[in-house]
Amino acid sequence: MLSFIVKRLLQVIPLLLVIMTLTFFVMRLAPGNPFASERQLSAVIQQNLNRRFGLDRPIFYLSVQESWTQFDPDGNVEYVNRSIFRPFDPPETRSFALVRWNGFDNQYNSYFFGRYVADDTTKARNWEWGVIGGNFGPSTRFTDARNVTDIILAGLPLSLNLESSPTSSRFASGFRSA
Amino acid sequence: MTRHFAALAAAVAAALGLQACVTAGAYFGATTPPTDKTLIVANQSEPRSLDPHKTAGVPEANVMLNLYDCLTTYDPQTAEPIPCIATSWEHNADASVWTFHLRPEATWTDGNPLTAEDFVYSWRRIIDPATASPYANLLYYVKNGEALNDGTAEDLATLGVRAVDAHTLEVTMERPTAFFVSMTPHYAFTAVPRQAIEAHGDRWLAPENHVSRGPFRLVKRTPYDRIVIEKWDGHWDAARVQLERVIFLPIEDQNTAVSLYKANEVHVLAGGGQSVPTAFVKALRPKLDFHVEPEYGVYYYSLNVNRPPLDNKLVRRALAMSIDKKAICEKFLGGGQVPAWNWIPPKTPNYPYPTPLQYNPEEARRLLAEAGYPGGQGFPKIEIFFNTLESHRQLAELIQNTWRRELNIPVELNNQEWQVYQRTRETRQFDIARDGWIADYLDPNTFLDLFQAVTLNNHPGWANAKYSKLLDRANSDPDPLRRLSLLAEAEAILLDEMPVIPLYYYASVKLRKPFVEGWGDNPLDQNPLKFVSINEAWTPEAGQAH
Repeated sequence: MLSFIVKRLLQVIPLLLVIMTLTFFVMRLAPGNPFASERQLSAVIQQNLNRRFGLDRPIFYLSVQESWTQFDPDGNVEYVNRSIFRPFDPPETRSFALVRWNGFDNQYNSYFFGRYVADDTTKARNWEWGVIGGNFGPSTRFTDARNVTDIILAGLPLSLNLESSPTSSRFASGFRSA
Repeated sequence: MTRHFAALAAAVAAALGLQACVTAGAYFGATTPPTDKTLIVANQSEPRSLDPHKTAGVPEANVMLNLYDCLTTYDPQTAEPIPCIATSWEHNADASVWTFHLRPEATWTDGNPLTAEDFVYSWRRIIDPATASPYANLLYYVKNGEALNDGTAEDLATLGVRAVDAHTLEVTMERPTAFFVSMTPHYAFTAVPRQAIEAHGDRWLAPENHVSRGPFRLVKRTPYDRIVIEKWDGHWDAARVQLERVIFLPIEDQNTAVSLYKANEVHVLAGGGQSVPTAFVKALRPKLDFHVEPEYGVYYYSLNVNRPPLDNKLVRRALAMSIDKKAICEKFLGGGQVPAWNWIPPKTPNYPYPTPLQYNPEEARRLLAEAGYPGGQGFPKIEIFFNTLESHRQLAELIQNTWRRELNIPVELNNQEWQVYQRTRETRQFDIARDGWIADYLDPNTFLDLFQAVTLNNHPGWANAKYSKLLDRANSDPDPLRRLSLLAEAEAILLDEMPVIPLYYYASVKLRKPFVEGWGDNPLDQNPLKFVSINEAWTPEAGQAH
């Protein structure tokens, strides 16, 4: 019985990844975006919001890069980064890289389906773990301090409490509209 | 599915149960005033953010209005700007440079003085494309605002705002803007605390880090539960403030809000728009604590003036004149909406409203014949587009029937999902499109400006040189009354050309306990809580006599 439960729990991991990937593509391929409301935003403001939440990047981008150090004509050390394999050309440099070859660069960060592996939207560091590391990125619903992880953590104890009580299972989920 | 069922069940229960309970008494539900000076407000939904630069919603505005004083604030009765942080202001001859004199005694909750530099910092922050503020466009009236926000200019120091000294703020406009002061109560123009943002980054909004400077300060915030604000004694206007505490509850379901109100667990259903389900409106109408006021917003149909047969002014006027808007508001909508014949909603102070068209189906048929379609003959099929929502559909069906009956013309309906619909409207792939505009500030310019040039929000694609020139002249005119009469002339052109058919003005429909005093019913639905109080001595007898 125990091995059955453990096996099932382990099976959840790849399943979740598949669901996340499918959800990502469904959401990104559908028209519109999370900021649409009755109040119509101007194109410029929409574009600024997209950039802030990383929605301006292409959906899929495969790139293998190499980096090395060299001296510039003044004798200063400079880091050079070059994409050596890039079958799909992104419209701008801020985009997803499926594989990162070497990591000295500041311009290129690695993404796997947006922020599922890594995320640089916070700009605090060059590299941050994405969903796999428990970082769900900034919330598009709550545009201030909180990121999605905080919202889940705030709501989870209450949800667990309610879910475990026999009378009620449908109130106040911490995941609601995050 | 479950949600629809729940809503339906609630509506049925409401119609059967609650409505029956509405009958007795002059007021709806319990009216015992609380004795702890605590006002409880049903605030629609959970605010997305309390950062004035990161949100554009109504529930957010209801809270922020009391946390961050602006240069001016709203007069609770008229929504006109009255002095707040700015004690006085003036502008140069053509209203292209404005100077605001700030109150020297105003401070932040952390004790730092509030200076003109704080405003400079804030206005640069909201216009910065990296902030991605949904309300950045209000700052486009300030010199270089649009260029900085769309990235064509990069140096934020070139924004037309300058601290002349610690308490004098000078604003240079992109072009003459005589109505600028009417925008300044809006939270887009407030100041945010640089010291807290630099110390805590995005975490500055946590109650323990939060620095504000309004009559109230944030003490508690539990997502999907409540926001609590309390009177701040250090405020420059603290002597005026009567309430000790205000609790904002995010109640999305209107039936729940109404039930809580009835039980006196909630004292005010906050705007904007309709906060009471339509099913209740008729039963609640006679109650003294039920309030209906026209809002500064209009529901209208955009007519694509570049497509025949709507390129013909006579056709547009015929379509407009054949609609019985009074019947729409009274018999169909029934939520206190007001029939719209003018483009500018009522209650604009000192505005000389031009005389609009009237409902006249006879004249409409004559105009249609004059346009070359006698009795509707030869009139091509036209389509009304709307975004998927039952109330939009019902109204479109009603108008479809009206035009078939009165003008004998073929009309089809076409509904689209919101995101698709937005694109349809922007690219003008329609004959007639449902539309709405709700003002951010109390000035006719917010409505007339839509047709200044053929821009994104000018859905009919209508432009008129004389109209644009009148707007330019008006907005550089320092004389307020002359300016308003120039705007009225421009509106008269619009009403004559009829690129839009105004259908009704939105209404704010509210419940408010009779012991809540100082709450004005102004057209922008903005009520600074420093003017609001709870009358603990209130009794139904006193209320009736009143």
